[in-house]
Amino acid sequence: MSLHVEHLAKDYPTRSGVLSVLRDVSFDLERGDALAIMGPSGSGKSTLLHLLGTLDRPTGGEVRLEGRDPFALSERALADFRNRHIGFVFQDHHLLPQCSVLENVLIPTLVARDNREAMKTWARQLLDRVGLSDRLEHRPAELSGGERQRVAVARALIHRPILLLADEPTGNLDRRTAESIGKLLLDLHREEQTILIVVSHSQELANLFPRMLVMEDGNLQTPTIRPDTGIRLPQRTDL
Amino acid sequence: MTLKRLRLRNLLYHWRGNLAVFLGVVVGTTVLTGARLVGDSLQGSLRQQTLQRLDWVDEALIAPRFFRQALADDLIGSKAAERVCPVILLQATVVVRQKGGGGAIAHQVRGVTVMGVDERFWSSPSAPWSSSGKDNGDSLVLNRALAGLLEVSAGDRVSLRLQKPSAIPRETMLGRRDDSAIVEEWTLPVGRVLSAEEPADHFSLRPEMDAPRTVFLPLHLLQERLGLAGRCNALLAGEVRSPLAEAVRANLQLADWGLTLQGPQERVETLFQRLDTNHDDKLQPREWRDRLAASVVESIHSGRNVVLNRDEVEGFYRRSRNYLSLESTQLLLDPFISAAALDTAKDMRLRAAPTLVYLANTLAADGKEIPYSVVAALDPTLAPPLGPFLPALLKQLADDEIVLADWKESSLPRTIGEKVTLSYFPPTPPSPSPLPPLGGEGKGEGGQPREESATFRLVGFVPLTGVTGDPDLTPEFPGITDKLKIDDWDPPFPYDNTRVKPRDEHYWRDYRTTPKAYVNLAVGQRLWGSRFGRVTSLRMAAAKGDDLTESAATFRRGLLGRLDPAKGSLVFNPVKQQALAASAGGTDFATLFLGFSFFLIAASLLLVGLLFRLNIDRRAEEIGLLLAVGYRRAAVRRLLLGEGCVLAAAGAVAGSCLAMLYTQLLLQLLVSLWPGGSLQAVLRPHFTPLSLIGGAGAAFVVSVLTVVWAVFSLGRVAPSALLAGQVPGTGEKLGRRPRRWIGWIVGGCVVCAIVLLVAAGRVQDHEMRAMTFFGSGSLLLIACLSALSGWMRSSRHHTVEGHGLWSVARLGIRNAARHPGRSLLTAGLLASAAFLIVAVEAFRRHVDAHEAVARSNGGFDLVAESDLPLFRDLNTEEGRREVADKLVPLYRDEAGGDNKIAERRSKEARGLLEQIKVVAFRVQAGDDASCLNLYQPLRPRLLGVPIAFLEQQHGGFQFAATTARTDSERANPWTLLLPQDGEVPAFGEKNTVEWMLHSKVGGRITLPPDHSLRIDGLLSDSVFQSSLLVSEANFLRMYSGHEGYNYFLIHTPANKESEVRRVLELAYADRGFQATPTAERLQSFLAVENMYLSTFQALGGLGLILGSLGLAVVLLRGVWERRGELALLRALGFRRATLSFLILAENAFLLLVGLLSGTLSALIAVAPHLLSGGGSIPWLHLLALLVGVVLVGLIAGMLATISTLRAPLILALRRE
Repeated sequence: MSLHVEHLAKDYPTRSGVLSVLRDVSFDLERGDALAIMGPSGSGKSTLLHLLGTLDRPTGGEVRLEGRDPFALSERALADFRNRHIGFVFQDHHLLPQCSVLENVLIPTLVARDNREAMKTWARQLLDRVGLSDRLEHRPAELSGGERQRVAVARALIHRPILLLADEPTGNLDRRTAESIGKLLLDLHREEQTILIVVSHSQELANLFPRMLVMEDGNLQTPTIRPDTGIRLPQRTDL
Repeated sequence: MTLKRLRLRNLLYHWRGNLAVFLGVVVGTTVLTGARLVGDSLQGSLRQQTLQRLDWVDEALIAPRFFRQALADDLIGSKAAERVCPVILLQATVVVRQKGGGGAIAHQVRGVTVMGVDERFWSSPSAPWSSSGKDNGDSLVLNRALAGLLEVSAGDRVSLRLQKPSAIPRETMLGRRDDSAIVEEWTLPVGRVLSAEEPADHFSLRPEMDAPRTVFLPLHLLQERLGLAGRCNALLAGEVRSPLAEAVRANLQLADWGLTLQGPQERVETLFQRLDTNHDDKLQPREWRDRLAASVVESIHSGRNVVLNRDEVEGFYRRSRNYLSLESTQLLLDPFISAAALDTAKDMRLRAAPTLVYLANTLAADGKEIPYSVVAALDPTLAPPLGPFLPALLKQLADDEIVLADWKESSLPRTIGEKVTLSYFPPTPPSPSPLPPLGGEGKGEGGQPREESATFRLVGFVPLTGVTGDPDLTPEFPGITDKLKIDDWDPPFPYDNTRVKPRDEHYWRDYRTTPKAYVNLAVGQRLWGSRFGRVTSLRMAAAKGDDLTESAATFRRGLLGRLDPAKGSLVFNPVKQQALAASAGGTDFATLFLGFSFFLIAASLLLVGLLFRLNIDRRAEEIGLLLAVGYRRAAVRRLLLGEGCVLAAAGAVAGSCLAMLYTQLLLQLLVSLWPGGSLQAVLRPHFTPLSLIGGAGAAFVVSVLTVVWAVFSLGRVAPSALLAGQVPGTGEKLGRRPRRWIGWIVGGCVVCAIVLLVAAGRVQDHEMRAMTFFGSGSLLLIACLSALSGWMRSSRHHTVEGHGLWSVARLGIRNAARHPGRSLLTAGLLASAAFLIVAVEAFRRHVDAHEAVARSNGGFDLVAESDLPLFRDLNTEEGRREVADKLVPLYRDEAGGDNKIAERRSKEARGLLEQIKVVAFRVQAGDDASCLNLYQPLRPRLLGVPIAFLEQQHGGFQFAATTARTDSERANPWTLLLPQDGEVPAFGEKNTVEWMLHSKVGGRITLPPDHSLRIDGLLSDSVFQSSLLVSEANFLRMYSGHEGYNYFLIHTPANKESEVRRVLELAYADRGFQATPTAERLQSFLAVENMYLSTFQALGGLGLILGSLGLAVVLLRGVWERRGELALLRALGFRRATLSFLILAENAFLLLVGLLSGTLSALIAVAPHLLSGGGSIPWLHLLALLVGVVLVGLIAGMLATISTLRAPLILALRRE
């Protein structure tokens, strides 16, 4: 079992008491699985993604990737774990404006002991794969929104992660570009056999995914109605 | 792509933020390095000046006596030094008279050094005269400074007013103190004025700020004029090869000590040199008559007109005067010399007879008297040839007994047991009279000797032949012993030749200086001994069978070996080494300026930290991304630190370069603020690589530490939060309750501050007191800032509601709490700068110099100094008469020869002087210990305070601290200076002792050669900044050979200050007398003190500007971060002006909180100082300063706000 999530919870202290953002979330995914998570704003989608990506620590529950509990690791080991096994694509692509396209893709490799040339070659291949082979030396400011997100996707895959997480990857893009990015993500996920989890408001994007869950008030649920068709779906919590 | 490359990219991409950090480091480095460079420049300038002034001279021997010039050759011969130059060094006043002005003085310059030098002094290319000097005529050479002051050039004539050398101490009965004996006026043409390139132009042996004023004369010319052929009083040595002390000791002769050792042979030689005018080795009757005692001639060869040949005379002396006599050219043997001579004689098995000969004005008995008789005090019991001086059958002489010479013509009764009274003048003139009350008649006897007397019982007579008929018991004394008749005598004491009768002249003819009476040595020494000596000669006889000539040679060697050259000041001082040590400065200027710049440096570093932190905040998302993609926090920190290090290094390098310019500006500031402008000629920039590297290194390290703080303050914010743009110190902490420890800190700090304030009143030590003050102030400041921090972190703020500007302002104030760290830093910066400025302002001295004259200087409104000493007491009739007598010819000149006018004016002047009160101080020349001298005073000038002044003085002077224990000491602390056993108590001005001499009350100060002074009192606001004070008695114990008074405090009647000044300066112009209003002198000292404070405040003000800049940056950043929020408010209908007001309210709040915290903390901390009357705060000035800062801060903030609000806010709104 590649990704095992059990009773995952996240609370935040506030002036008026504890705010539970995530409650008792459990699911399992294997390599090659792709999952779209939808839900209204403030439902806890991004929090879940950040916990899965070890960007934040849960207040309860367990996450295991390839059988390992990343939160049991030391700070240093956790950073290495994230560097090696998790890839992120954010809504705001978070490209470093001071670096070229190729350099941005190579950013994660700077703190890893990889063969530099090999990584460079792989970065070029990834950029070729995302259709930016002719923009290697361009700066983010010289790219369109879709191109920037492609760079972010390539950067997320530079270490061939097990888990590829995308937080509203198409949120800032037009419909056509969003679709192409969604497809690109799925294609690359399939090629690399990653576990892909995408959080999005976009139904179009979610429709590209074979599986979908809905987050409501911190709970992960199987949707009762398929949002695009209005067809009632059977209740499923055991993905 | 590498991390290094990424770092470079980051640096370039975020150039605006990085530039700000870089500039902050530049400022910090500039100030830090600049402080060191100011110290370097000062030390370097003084060092350069020292080396320039001393030129080739490494060591100098300056003696209080004249010794053989040939000693210089002896030292070169002994290979102790490559270059030794004999010099006559004298102090003088130089005047230039108006051309065709009837002798009126056009220019007068005092404090001039006259140097008689030969060709050895000059560095060869600049030698103004040849080795003989005779082909140069009688002209002198001036240095540029003196020529400039006198406004003369080559060919003009100038007059030197020198002190005539006198072998015989002037303060003994036989010393001459009248004008003609003291002042030698000598008019010579100026042969040349030296150029700046010539080393001699700058030559000076004393490390002082002012340009030396020097006159150079050919040595032989000066010797000739002073009658000191072949003699000098100083040696200059360069290229020293071996310790000169040993060489000096090995080459000193008795003549160098002013001693003569006379045996029969030497006496005959001297006699023939003096009398044998035709050099035929015979004394013709015309040669010896009235010059050699007739009784002596009779003993050599009977007959009236005999011719005495050398063998006969020598035979007589070997037969009848077969003893050695050690005598001194100064008449009295120095006590240490007579002690050494006695010890040497004892070692050599010589029988020694210390002898003191004195002149009695009258020998009287039973109403009869004999005038002007020589009396000898000796051991009368000694065997021939040293005695006996007892009548037959008498074995010894009691202390109250006297033996008279058996002089047949004597008018005294010859009755044994008769009372014989000796009247005489005391051996030294009396001390200055007790001060008369102001306006009262000073009728003290000061200066005018008053006859004293002693009565003895006559026990018998001794014949005027043989041992007891010895005129050689009396040493030579010009004006008396060289006169043919008593009537011709020209003694320095009051002398009435009408008292001389023919029988007295007969005695003079027959027995010359043969004593007429003998008393015991102890009695004579008690009556006529003084600090100058208690023995006029030491007579010695060889042991039986020993050859006297051989004994003389052995004694000479033994005595020279025993005499310590240091006691006679015949030692070389390493003047260059000492001056270089002094050039390190009395104050460590590097540390001083570092202290002055502390807040500026702290402000710039805080700014660096703040700016770097803002940079990091701005890059929160980038950092979040790096963490998200697997960078360890340490790696991110290293990345940021690396960037910080690059910025710090670049800033440090640029800053150290800029520091050179900054130093120049600081030096300009110092030069412009320094009173008197003497710094301008001295101060030059000196940059040492060590200081540049050290300053840059220190600034780099401190900047990096600041960056480390900024980087680590990132804390452990979750990457997700960073990705969301959340910066440390906000958001996640807002919900927390204020930390309880903040309350504890505030309370603890306030309590500790109060304790320190209370304790400060009891602390004596000035450094401790300063620390206590700053400690309590700092604690109060910490309390204020902690309270602010607590408020900002509190969640219990009142709800902002209502409408109008006040509500908007409250919202703005609330916004200050958004970034507590930033706000606290900014407020802290402003608070610290305000604290500094207020505190310094409180310590600034706004002393009314005129008030200080009355309060701290005994009301003495004039302070005067003279180049040549004064001997008369100006509080006495005699002193006033001297002034009046001196004025008559001067007034006559002024009145075009009208004697009546001159007499009238002189009489008026005398009347004026009757209304003044003068205190005369003895002066031992030394380094100016005041803050006006930047050199470290190694041997501060010493003043001897008259005992009468100490005993009479009650109040009128302010003491900062004393060691007074008893009520009477507290009532008149001056009594602490009265002589005691053991250490010498001394007073000094507080600032001088503490800052220049680095001592305190109870501290010890050593003066060469081995005098230890104990500081028993610190004066405050007095004119004695340049000197230390001891009692006159202790002064004379330390410097027994010292003569006269050179420093004066004068109390004048109201509105007569200038008149008194004019009269005294005119009368004593020949002595270089110069009077200055005390208030003026005090003002110059205060100017230096306030100059330091001004510099401190100027640099503190720069810190305040940096603080305001920091505030503007924080504000700008805050506005930028909140542009979405502001855009929203715009969208909600807020006008731009309202938004500006909102932001300004936040700005003003931080400004006011910072300034008020600093101001109030400082005011509370300095309250004890203010309440004790130690200072006052110019409230208006302070208020204006603080209002100015608030305005500058508000304007800077407003500009920042306007520029931000002008930017389109739509994008920001979209982002929201």
